[in-house]
Amino acid sequence: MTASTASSGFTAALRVELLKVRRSVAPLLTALALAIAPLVGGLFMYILADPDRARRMGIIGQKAQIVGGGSDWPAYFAFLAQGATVGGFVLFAFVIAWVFGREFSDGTVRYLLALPTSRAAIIAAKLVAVALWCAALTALLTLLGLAVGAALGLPGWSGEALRQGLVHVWGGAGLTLLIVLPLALLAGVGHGYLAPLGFAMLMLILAQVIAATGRGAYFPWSIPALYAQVAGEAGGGVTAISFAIVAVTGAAGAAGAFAWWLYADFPR
Amino acid sequence: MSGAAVATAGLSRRYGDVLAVDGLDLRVEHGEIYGFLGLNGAGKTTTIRMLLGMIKPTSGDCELFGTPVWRGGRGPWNRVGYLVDAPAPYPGLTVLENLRSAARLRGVSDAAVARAVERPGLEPYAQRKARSLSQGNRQRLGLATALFHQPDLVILDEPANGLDPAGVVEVRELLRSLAADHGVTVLMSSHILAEVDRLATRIGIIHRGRLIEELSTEEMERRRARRLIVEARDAAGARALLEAAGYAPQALDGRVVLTQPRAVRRPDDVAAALVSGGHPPTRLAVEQEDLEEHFLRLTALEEAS
Repeated sequence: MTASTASSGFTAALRVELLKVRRSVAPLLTALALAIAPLVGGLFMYILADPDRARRMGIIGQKAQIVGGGSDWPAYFAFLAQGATVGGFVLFAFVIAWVFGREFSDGTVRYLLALPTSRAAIIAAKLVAVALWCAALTALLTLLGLAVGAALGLPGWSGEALRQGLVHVWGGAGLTLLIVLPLALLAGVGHGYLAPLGFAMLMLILAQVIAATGRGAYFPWSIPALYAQVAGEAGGGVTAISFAIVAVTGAAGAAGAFAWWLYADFPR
Repeated sequence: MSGAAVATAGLSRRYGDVLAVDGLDLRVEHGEIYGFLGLNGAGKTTTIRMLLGMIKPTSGDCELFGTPVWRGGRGPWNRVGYLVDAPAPYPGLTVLENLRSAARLRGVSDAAVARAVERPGLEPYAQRKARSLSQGNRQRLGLATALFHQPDLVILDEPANGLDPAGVVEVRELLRSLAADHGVTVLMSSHILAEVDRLATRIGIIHRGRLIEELSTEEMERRRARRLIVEARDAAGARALLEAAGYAPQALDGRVVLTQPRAVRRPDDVAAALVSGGHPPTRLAVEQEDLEEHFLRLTALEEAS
C-alpha cells in the first residue's frame, strides 16, 4: 500500500465518520449536556458575588462556596476546567463509546471489514472523529464560558488570567481525551456501548476514591481532574510522571483498539 | 489452490467443543453461481465470514482470485461485494448516504451510486432514512451495497431474505444476468432450497460443518427420483386397471402413484390404458422429487451414519 492510497483511504473513512456523526442527535445531546457546566458555573459566580444572597440560596449557596470560593475570572475558569475534566470525562466516554460501540449495536461493523480501505485507516478515522467531536465540545464550553462570564461582568479579567484559564480548560480536556481512549478497545471487546460506559463509570468512582487517598497523581483516571484542581491539595500534585501515565494510558488504549480490530474475530 | 474465484483447502473453524466448519474444500470457478445450501447452524455463515476475513480459520486456507485472505489487509476486496446476515444499513443515514459512504470507502465514484439506486428499485426511497425502510427495502439496499461497485465476485448470505415474491424473482434475474452477461461469480448461501435450485449452476450441501454433497444442476436433476401421478374419478378402479396392465400402482391421498421407469418415461401408454379401460385420467403428471426432499433425505442419511 502506498502512502497516498493509505491517506486517501483515511480521508474517505474520516468523511464517512463525520457524516455519521452529523446525521445523529448525539452531538446535540452532548452539546446540551456540556452547556450545563458554564451555565451552572455562571449561576455560582452570580451567587458568590453577593454573600448574603448566597446564604439565602441554602444548599446551592453552600455548594457554590465549596466549589467556587470566589467570584472572579480565575475562579470561573477553574470551574470550567472542572467541567472539561469531570463532566468532560462522562461526555467524552459517551462520544467514544458511541463512535465505536454503535457499529456493533447497529450491526454495521460488517460493512467496515472487507474493504479496499484498511481497518487501520477506519480506526484512525474514528479516533480523529472522536478527537474533533471532543474538541468541538471543549470549544463550546470555552466560548459559552467566556460569554457567560462577560455577561456577569466578572472581575479579575487579564490576559494572564485568560491564558491560564485556556491552558487549564484545554489541557484538562486533552488529558481527559487520552484517558477515554481505552474505551475504544472495550467497545470492540464488549461488542457495543455497555462495556465502555460501565468501565467509565467504574473509573469515575475509583478516581474519586484514589484521589482521596492521596495517590491520585499516579492513577490515570484521577489525573485530569487533579490537573484542573478538582480534588485540591488532598489529591496530591500532578507531576511530569502523571502526564506520562496519562500519555501511556492513551497510547495503550489506541494501540489496543488498532490491534483488536486487526486480529479479533467478527462472528456477528 | 489458485485460479478459481473462491478456493478453500481444509478450512475449519472450532468454537470450544463445537466444530462449526470441518475441513471444507470448496472451489468456485469464474462465472459460476454456486449455491451453498444448509440448515440453520450448518456452518454457512461461518464459512462466508472466513472467506471475507471476518473470522480467522482454526486451520486451513482460503483464497479469493488466488490471493490469500488476510484480515485487515487490502486483499482482493475491491473485486468483492458481499452481504452477510441481515442487512444493517446506518439507520441515521438516507439510502443515498449509505451508498455514498460505501462508495467512498471503496474509492468508487458517485455515478456508480446513482446506478445502484436505480437497479434494485430503490429510487423512490433514495432520500429516506434507512431506519424507516421496510425489511424488503433494507434487503434491496444491502444488495445494492454489495453490487454497486461492479465486483467480479459477489458473496451473498441468504439474499432472498425479507423480499416479497416479486422481489425474489427480481433478485434472481439480476444475479443470473450478472453471471451470464458480465461473468460475475456468485456464491450464495441459502436455506430456501427452491431459490438455490432455480438459480445455481452448482450446489454444495453443507451439514454440521461438512460439505456432504456437491452437484451440478444437471447431476441434481438426474439424481432426483421421478414419479407419475394419476388422478381419476374412480381412483380405486383406475388403480385396479393399472395393476391388471402390469404396473405397480400405489395409492396416495386419493391419487395413484407409479414409480416404475416404464410408467415415468411413457405416461402416454398409461393414459391409453386408462382410457381404453373406461377410467380416463382427470390429471396425469410426472413429478420429480424436489430439492427439499432430496436435501432432507441426504441430511437424514448423514445423521444416521
